[in-house]
Amino acid sequence: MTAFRRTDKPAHIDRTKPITFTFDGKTLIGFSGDTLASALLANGKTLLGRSFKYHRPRGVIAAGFEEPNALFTTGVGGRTEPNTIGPTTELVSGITAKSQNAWPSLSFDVMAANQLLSPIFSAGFYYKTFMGPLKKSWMMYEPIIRKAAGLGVAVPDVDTARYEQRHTFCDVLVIGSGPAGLAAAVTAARSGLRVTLTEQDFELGGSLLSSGNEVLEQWRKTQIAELESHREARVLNRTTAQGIYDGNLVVLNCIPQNHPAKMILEQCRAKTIIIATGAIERPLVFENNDRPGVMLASAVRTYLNRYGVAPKKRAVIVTNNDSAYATAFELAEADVAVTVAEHRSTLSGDLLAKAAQLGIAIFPNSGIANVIGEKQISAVRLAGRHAVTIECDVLAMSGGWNPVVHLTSHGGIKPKYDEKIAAFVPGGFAPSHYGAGGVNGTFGVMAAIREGETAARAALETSNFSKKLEAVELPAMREDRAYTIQPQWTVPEGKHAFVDFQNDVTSKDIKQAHQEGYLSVEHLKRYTTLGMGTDQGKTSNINALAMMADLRGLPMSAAGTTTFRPPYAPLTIGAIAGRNVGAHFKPKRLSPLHDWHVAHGATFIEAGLWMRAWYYDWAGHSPETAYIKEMELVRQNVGISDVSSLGKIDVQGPDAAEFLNRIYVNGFAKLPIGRARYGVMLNDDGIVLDDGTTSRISDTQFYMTTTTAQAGEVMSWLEYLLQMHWTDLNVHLTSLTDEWGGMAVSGPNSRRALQLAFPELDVTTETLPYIGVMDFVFEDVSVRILRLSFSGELAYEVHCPANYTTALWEHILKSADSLGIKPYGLEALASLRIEKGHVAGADLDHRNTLDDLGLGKMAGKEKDYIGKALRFREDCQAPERWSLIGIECMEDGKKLRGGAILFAASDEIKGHGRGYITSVTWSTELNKFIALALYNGGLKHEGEDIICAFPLKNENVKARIVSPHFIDKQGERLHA
Amino acid sequence: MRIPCPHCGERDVAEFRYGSDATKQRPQHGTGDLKTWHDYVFVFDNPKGQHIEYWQHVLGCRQWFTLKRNTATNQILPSPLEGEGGALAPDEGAVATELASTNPSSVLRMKDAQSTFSLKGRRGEKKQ
Amino acid sequence: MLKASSALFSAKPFASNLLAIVEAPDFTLTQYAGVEKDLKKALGKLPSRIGIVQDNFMRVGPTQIWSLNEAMDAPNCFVTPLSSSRTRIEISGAPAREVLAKCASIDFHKNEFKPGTFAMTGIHHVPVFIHCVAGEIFHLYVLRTFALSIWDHVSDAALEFK
Repeated sequence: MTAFRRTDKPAHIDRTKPITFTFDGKTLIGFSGDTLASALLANGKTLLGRSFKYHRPRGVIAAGFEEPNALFTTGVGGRTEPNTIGPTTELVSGITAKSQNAWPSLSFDVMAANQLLSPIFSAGFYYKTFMGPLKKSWMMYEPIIRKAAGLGVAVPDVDTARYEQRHTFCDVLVIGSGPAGLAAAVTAARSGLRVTLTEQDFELGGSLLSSGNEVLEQWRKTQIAELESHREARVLNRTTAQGIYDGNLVVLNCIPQNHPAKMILEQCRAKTIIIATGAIERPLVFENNDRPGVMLASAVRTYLNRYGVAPKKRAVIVTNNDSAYATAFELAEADVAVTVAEHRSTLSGDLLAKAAQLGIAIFPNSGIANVIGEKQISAVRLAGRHAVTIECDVLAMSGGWNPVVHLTSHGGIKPKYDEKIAAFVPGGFAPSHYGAGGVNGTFGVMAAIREGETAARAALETSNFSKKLEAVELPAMREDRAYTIQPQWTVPEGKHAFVDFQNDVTSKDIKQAHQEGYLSVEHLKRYTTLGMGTDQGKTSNINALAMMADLRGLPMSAAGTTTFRPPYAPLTIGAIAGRNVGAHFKPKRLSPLHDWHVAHGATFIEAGLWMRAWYYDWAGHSPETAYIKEMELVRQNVGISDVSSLGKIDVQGPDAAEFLNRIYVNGFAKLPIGRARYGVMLNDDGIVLDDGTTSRISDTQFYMTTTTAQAGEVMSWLEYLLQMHWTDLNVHLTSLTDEWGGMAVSGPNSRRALQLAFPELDVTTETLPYIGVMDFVFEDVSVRILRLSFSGELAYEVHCPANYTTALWEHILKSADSLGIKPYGLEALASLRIEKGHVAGADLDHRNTLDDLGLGKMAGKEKDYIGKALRFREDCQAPERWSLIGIECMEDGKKLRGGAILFAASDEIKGHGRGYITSVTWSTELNKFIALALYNGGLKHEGEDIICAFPLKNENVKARIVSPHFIDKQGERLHA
Repeated sequence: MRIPCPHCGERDVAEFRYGSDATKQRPQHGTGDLKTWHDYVFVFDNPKGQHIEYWQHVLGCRQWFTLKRNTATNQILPSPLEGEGGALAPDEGAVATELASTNPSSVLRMKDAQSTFSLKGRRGEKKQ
Repeated sequence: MLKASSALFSAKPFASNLLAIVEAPDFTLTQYAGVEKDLKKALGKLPSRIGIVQDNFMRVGPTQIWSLNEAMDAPNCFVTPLSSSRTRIEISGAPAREVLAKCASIDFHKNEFKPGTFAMTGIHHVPVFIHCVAGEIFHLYVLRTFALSIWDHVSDAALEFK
């Protein structure tokens, strides 16, 4: 029993190019030019899937993106794609399509028993089970329901396909290549301006492809040929305009051919946009209108004329408007016996005459009472006076046409109801947007062509193009006949009259929503799940709105529509991610010493965007122990570490000193040349922003360093102050973070190391005391030595232009080799500073005041600095703030852990505690775990015993609050 | 959204960073009491409609500028603060007054929130 | 003289008949900042706006000029050497504009982005200075620490031309 057959009439398929594909494991053959849906129909496959809730048998309804039912899972493994839309999927060799939501098989589906449960699954089912007395039972039913309801299933495998993105620009973007779009694109292209034409289909032509008219086909070909001849015209088929965003950004997803990417997401910035997206036919709502074989009349016409797929013998057409007669006549001409059930009581003479000529019976005042046949319809029973039963292979329905207004509405313009065509049309157009053809509710071909041309001329005018252009040639045809419709909104009786085919919403559900008070469009949608499927209600929304308006006694214009949001059609997440996956997920930042670290056994760790050397092979292979060896090297001898990631800023200008004096809490105005100073910056709100050392190079030049983490933030903030507020200060800022690389040479032997490396240089304490700065030229390269210490040992930072940092680093290592100098990594660097009690990124949580960090005394009492006023607000002065403490572990063999929650010894271990550990390390000097932490009341509690709780590992470790300065409290080592 | 950088021309919003409300007058450095700074740092209007903001062309020329933007439509208007050749725009308290007076009903004044803000009716509740 | 090292030492070479992506090292980049009068006095005629390259001078801000010429004395100006701060990547070949369009949201159409102009923009969230040297030759000045990452990103964008 097959309901469809191939015709031998001319169509847009190439019968000489067969294409093999599989459906549910069975190998089938279609032709080049087919879609998955047309090929399946041609193979007699009408039962193609099971419905969302009730597992009812479903087949193809439409011939475009609006298709609610003919959805398949295609591909295998990571390339699996659920909910592939059959009518828009170009048939290519090797497609493997599987039906969805059916078990164990499509024709025998166990879950079809859900149909018996339909009273339970009706509107509001989810809400009632979540919220009502049934709430508890949800836990029990949920897994069963999850299995039973749904469509395609996403696979856990990684999608191995490649997705790309690109940015394009044009003067005129034409969306849609039907008669209006083609006319618009050709007109616009004649100007020589940059024109882009997009078409979601693989063939250009839109509704022209379904017409079966030779004159129109010639016209279509002529326009396409002309477009190809215009150098600045770009034609993108297989490209869906998904949304229009602010600033005329149109997001297009393109399926390229012969390209490594499966999909390209294009961000097209168009000066003007012509929306020629056409219209979608509405179904009619009647009992069992979801049975396979019930289709949109226009879809039946498309399958006939474009794909050469016709109903086997008999078709019934049910309509309330004139457009379905084209289908009726062309079916009859293709030897299909046609009967029309016409909702209206009168019909224009030309249609009646033609029907009579073709032997088509028309039943006026007739709708459909019921559809007979479950997996494939066999007959329909008419409603009304002529309650006859008519055998048929296909029931073609037309309830009128909905302009595809989505793109006109993305910017917030609500569509408005047009009584004449009983549909919503654009409520207006944004400046530089124009509409043409079906989207405007203009359904005739000739009128659409004229509108396309007019729209293009208006768009060109907006683009300041004023030369005269030749008019587009019209096809040699008679004028369009008028379109008339009698809206058919009444809510039918019956239990299985489907409004939303994809989400299984019936007319009964809408009645129920009305009875229960879910009246507004947005409530109706959420209560019934109407329009919430992958098709976003393209065929269902307007019928549902109209029914609700009818139940409420409101005119359509007062009912309103739901909000149209991008994307217009389902979009793969991979397309949105583009190439930013895997290694390209985010940019990586590498120190100028990176290659050296790689070559010398470093293990790396991510720190923000930076890849930093964590520890080196020479010290061992475990992050738990290697850093301890590296720490010992620094404490006892000398080590060298990469500090290139520090933010570095060149501050120059006559007012540089005044500027620094304003942004740091401590004074910089009188910093002598050749000296560095540790400084802290606050935000306006009195909270610590960043810290670092800044050195004075000359009267008008300073060298500022910031933390690695805050470098970008600080730079922007300082630029903001200078450019927008302190315009009277003559100061220039330039980031040197990339220009300069840096290394810390630390340990009691660090001076000897530098003396070996730079024998000509005097680095004794007399010339280069603690916080002294020295510039010199070494082998033609500028070098800056800053005597600073992060570790607490005698230490220097050596900075030089990044191109030479590796050479300088190697020079120091080689020169001081006799001392046993070795590199140390980020873990040791951080551990050394914890022992010394220096705060760093981890301890600064953007809630700390100066006093919280024990730095309150640094701030100048007399001078003004940013954040001074709000530093003293009540909250910042509260006695029980979380403030910096040191912690020593009091239990042998136990660890402290970063993030551990702190409790007083007498507290119950519950809740958020009194603070938390911000940094932790093994102390080589104290031979125990130590930590820095923020604790309620801070060092007021020095000496008290606490519990460090780490619930993830079920650990409670005893510890004691101590000063955060664990070593060398007098700073003797620094000043050595 | 496209933003016209006064120095580089129109660019994609992704090249910019938003700074803050540019209708507010920053207290002079070293002046202002706790209350002045509190109001400057924490109390903001949240206007629907025309607004003036600080933006930085952070991936481009790194220049800060003021941008007149409609917060409801993202329509960008020529900034009244732009001087010739895109000169830098200093503080200009007058702008705030001008903005408020052009479209008073669209300005929801959050600083009066406790006394006047309610979900039901906020129209005409602006108080100074 | 110390040996200079490239940020692209470990970069995977990009080979294609249609497109070349190579490092173009060994350039001098200096920033001069100051008031217009002093800048002009020190450097001579200067481009009036951001976006044009004139005698190797590029205006990068209202008060900042970049120069690819040898560093020179500039009285009353503030000079910052920046030769190490950027890595220069050269992209050349017929599809170069197409590749760049996959990387940055700039209109690279030949009538819009002409030889002798530049744009300061972003690639993969990283600031990049793109200079159109000739019809199909572009120089990307990329922050040195991001150079390898941007090299990979741009080479990957060019995959279809390999």
